[in-house]
Amino acid sequence: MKALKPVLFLGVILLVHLLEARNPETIFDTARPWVCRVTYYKNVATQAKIGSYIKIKQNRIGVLVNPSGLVMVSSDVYPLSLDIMSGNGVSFFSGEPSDFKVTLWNGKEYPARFVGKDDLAKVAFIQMTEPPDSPLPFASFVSTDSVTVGQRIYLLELLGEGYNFEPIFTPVRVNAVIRLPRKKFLINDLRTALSAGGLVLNASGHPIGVTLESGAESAGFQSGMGFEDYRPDFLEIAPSEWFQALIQHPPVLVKAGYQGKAWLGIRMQALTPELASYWHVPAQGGVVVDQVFPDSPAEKAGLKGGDVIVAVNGRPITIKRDELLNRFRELIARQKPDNRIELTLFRKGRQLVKTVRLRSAPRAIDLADKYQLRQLGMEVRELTRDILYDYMLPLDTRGVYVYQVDRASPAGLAGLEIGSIITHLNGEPVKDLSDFRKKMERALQQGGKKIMLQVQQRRETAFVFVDIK
Amino acid sequence: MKAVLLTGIITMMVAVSFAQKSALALQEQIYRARDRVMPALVHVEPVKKVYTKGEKQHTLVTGSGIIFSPKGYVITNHHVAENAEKVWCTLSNKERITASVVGSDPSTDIAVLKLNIDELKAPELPYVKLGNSDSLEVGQLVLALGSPLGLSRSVSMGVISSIDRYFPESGSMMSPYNLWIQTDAAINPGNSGGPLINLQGEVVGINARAVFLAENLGFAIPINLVKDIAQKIINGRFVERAWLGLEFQPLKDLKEYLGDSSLRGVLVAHIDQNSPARGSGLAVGDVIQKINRIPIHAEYEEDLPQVRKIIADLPVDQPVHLTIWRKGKTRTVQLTPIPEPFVEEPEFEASRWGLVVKNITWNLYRYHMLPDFNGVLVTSVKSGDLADQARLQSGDVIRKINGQLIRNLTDFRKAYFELESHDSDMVFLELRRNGHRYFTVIRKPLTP
Repeated sequence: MKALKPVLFLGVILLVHLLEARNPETIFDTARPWVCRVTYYKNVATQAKIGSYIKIKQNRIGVLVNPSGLVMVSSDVYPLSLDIMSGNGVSFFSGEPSDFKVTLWNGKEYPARFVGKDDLAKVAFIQMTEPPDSPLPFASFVSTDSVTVGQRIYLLELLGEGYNFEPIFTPVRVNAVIRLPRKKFLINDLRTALSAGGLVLNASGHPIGVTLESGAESAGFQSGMGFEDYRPDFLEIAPSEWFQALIQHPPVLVKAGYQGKAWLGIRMQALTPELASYWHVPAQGGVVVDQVFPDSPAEKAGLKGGDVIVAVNGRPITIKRDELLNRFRELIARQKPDNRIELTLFRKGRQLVKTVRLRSAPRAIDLADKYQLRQLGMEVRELTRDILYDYMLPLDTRGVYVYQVDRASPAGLAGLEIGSIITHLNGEPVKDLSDFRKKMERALQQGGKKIMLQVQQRRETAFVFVDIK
Repeated sequence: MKAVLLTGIITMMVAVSFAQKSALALQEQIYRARDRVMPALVHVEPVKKVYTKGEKQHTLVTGSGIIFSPKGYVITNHHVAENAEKVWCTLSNKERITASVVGSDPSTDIAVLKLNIDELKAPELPYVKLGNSDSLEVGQLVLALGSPLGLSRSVSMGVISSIDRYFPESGSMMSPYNLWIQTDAAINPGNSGGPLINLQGEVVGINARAVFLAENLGFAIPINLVKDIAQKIINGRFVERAWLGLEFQPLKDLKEYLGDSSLRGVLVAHIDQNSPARGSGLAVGDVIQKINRIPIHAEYEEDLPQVRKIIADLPVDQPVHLTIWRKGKTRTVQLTPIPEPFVEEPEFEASRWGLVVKNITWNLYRYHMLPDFNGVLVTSVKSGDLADQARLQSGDVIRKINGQLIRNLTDFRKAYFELESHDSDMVFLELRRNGHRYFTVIRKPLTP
């Protein structure tokens, strides 16, 4: 009886272990219905005509994340940068993605719509608009706290069109756990199958993350890199912690009343050891303020060009290379838009502390109100702050922004260029988009041969005479 | 009937013999024109220094030139002579002697060389007198002389296709102050700097460029402009131009918009923020009608170089009166031109920092929206050297060194030699990168 106890104990452990580490076939069978295919059309603006787009069909891997048809995909379905925080600049030739469809494991196809995306978490959400009445099977993500190097994990992805989008199931091991600037897992020498967004399961078949677009996170990966920065084809995995909270409250794309991420309002560079030693800043890295944007939270708090930020809310910043500046950007973007943060600064050898009340980032040109003048072949938009900041123009600059011009249209032939700001129409100053529209409609009604636009291209002014005969 | 036929035959015979005769005459003319100019033709081979990734290299290029004075002055193109460390010239008698660059003007693509005539073995130096380009006509026969693609001298014939070809600023093809002579005479690489002559053997232009991948499209600089610039170069090494800080547009569209066909002048499109025109009372949209009471007019784009040249030739630091038209009323404004703020000088290699810099250019100032004219442009960074370690990049503008303003190449050179004489171990630089401020420190390794 005494001898039996350890055997029994061992048996229980073995049983638990068996239950926990299920065999791969079972894991695949269980997880298969959670993964679906998302098809949509990318809309690329044509040079030929204002407001017309070329539609390009795209396929992505989606993961069902609730029983009522919410599907998570990689954020690259909507590559437009929605605020100036992302630093991706302005993209002119992309419209919104459209005609979303979700194809389930059983081959059934359902219409869907775009809900929203989060560039930090690198995920976007699609909602099936007419899901089946019965609840759908879905992936519920678990924490990745216990995931360590060497552990068995499984990738469940879809193959490309050439293989009829069949699922592909790959057992791999975690080759590296990256902790900074934020956690992710690396798998050596592997690429994504159809797209980013493939489901990653732990040894017991629980969803723990999704695959990332290759190179999406490799900030500072440039041609001038040193030997030690050599990077083979790692497959990167975003752990569930990146997006877990978003599944409960998916981001919603609202254009009117856009609520941006928290924003400080500086242009910056890293505090290299050389700069630290030249300025005698006793810190293990930091952020050098190159420029403070006018009317920004940073300006209100009294930050100045040349300041060195060494800590945020008492926590030291250890950024020594420009490639790592995204850590600071993310640190700010993770705050709530009206949070107060405390910055520890060095200014001319003296340490000081400034409290900054953050604000949401100004609306970017891609989300600005537009006015399309097909007759003249041009699209203008409300002049947003990101343009003024980028062109270093005074904030009281008035006018409208030229967002698109058809080449062979009256506007194109007259030499109107994308990126210009129209400041005057027929000699009268343009206040804003609605003022421009009013003045333009009046000018077109009055007739005449030409419309005279005064434009500003960066800092230079010029006149553009558009034929309206 | 017979008589008619006979008359016809006789007429034809006369015509044929006349044509033969005139063809012979033309041939004679070509020979004579060639012989007048060919002896003064020079094959130019500059040894140029170029920097690739901060590493100095030498390349040998070839071009042509023409001797226009008994003292040994040679005209060639700026793009042939620029950055030359040494210039070899082969004369028509195959003698090869060296020459020095007297001066060079990028805005007109003209350079003047001086032959080192004490090296000369021949007793006399052949030269040509420069002609007049004002009387040129479209369709006129011309010869392009030069030594294209090698040593052998060549003559090619064509006609003048156009005398007022205008290139709006596009890439390296910038020529704000002149129109071009277009010809179908073959102009090839190596012909650059050679003369374009008429059938009297007078030099009417300097061949400058061909259009890549196009056929029978050659461009020459009118000789009257060449004479003017060459004289300025000989007098003062570089060409100083007066600057008001204005950009112009032709009047044609404005006239159509206003429905006013009698309006004359040139439209002010832009006023630079650091220019003498700022604050003078002149406004964007004004039409300048007179400069110092002399009427000007630019109906089309090709009329603009002439207006720019009138302004460039104004005496610097002396007030100029502009008569302007603004919404139907005329008035006068007075302002004082300053010297053109951007001077092209050869690059400077700060070899101990692994860095090559040059003066800021007009385009850079505009494109990067620099606040003023100060700074030097980094053109090349030697891989792995100090500047590279400090992450300097070509395209950066150095504005301050150790807090001190660097206005131009002269300031930079001074600061560099001073810091190096003290063997400073840390140099603090304030830059503009893509127009935005950026700091960096060049740090020397500790010497063992």
